[in-house]
Amino acid sequence: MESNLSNALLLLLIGMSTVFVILFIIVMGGNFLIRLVNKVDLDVHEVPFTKIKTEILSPSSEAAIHAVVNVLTQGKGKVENIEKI
Amino acid sequence: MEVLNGIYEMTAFGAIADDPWSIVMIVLALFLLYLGIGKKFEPLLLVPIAFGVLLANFPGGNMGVIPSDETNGIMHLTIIEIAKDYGIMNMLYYLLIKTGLLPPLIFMGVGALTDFGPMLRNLKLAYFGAAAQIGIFVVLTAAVTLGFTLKEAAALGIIGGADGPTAIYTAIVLAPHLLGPIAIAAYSYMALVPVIIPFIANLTMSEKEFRINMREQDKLYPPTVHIKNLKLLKIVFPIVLCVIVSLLVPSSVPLVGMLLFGNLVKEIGTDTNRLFTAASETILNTATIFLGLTVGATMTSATFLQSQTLMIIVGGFLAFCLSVGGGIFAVKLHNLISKKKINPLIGATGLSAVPMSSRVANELALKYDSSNHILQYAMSSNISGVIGSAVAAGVLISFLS
Repeated sequence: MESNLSNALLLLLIGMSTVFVILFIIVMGGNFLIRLVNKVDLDVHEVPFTKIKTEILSPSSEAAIHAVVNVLTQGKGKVENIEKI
Repeated sequence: MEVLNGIYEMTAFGAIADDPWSIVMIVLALFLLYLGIGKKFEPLLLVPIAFGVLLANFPGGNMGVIPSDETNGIMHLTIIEIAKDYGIMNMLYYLLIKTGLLPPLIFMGVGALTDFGPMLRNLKLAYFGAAAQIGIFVVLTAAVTLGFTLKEAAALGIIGGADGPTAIYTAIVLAPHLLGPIAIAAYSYMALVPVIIPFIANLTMSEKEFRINMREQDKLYPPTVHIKNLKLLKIVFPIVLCVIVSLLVPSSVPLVGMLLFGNLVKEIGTDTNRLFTAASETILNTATIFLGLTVGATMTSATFLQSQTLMIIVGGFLAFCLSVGGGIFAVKLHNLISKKKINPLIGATGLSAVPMSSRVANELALKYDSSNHILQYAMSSNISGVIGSAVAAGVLISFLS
């Protein structure tokens, strides 16, 4: 019983210390990553969201069409024109 | 008369009369179903668990999980032999639960539904996710004094992590005979987060602390680090985090590793969209169904109606309350030494139960100050709580298994 209790207290000490150390490393590592990523000038291949001059659609519907095309074409497609058929 | 006797024996009435305690379990199953369906207490898991309890406690159905011991030697049988001799529920249990497969799969789905953005924007708040694990270890120690073995006490204490899959995974590894009550306690208390957090917060916080406005504090003391490329950061972060955790606490990798993999396929975006959909919907939902049913099926009258079950229910509640209190007091300690004040409700969300505890904390803060939206801040501590409880489970498993 006493050895179990001392083991439990030891686990309390080790467990809490480990959790704090891991989260400390995550915080420090996260800050380091943020600084590192901020320095990287990425060539981001994002499809430009071109505003289409049309009066047939509301802005939210137009945004929805852009989003659908983006997902279906895996970011490669681009909406150039929207016409009412 | 013989025909009537045969019909009577065909039904479950005779066996129920022989084991009337099974009626208690059936009533309990119906009560849990009521909580899940009527009261909407974590219905996604409580309904399958309750139905598993119901299935397991009708004699003759062969749906109750039979623990493996020296006499039956189930663990040494093949899956086909288990299915043939002990029924499909035992086959599912020994295949999916006893191997520890389902909790990591659920963690993968949870990872796919997790956004590390709030945590990355408020990294310092992640420390409170560590403080809120104190309930796990305090209850572990208390349980040992009450006569639980170290392994049982650890499985009981992990309820304080407020993370269902973590609690189930730890129980499977350390104390599989307590799996049923631990799962029920963990998910019931997670459902009671909207009651437990306000209860502990009202006991421990002053009105002035409830009114600490996080955005005003940010304006007074702006963060020093600004994120320019969040998309790339969110892709790199789970990879780096996985390496760190794998190196330091490898026993937590089945949970944390799968969580981070799920998160990575989400953050990559359209290129891995199919994997994201599978992880967050198909696999997560399938795993949840089988986890719930099989865990419920472990709760037969012979295994559940024991004095230990009551102690687990009480101990789990204490672990939960201590974890919430631990987070709150860690923030209070921080506020004593720092100029920038933090609302202690952020600490209360350090226990997992994502995102419910953040929502509850946000609503509490809004009650005192309608402009004090702390959700984004609370999510930081909340998500770090998931990592913290998985790491705590890893420590317990590596020391005790």
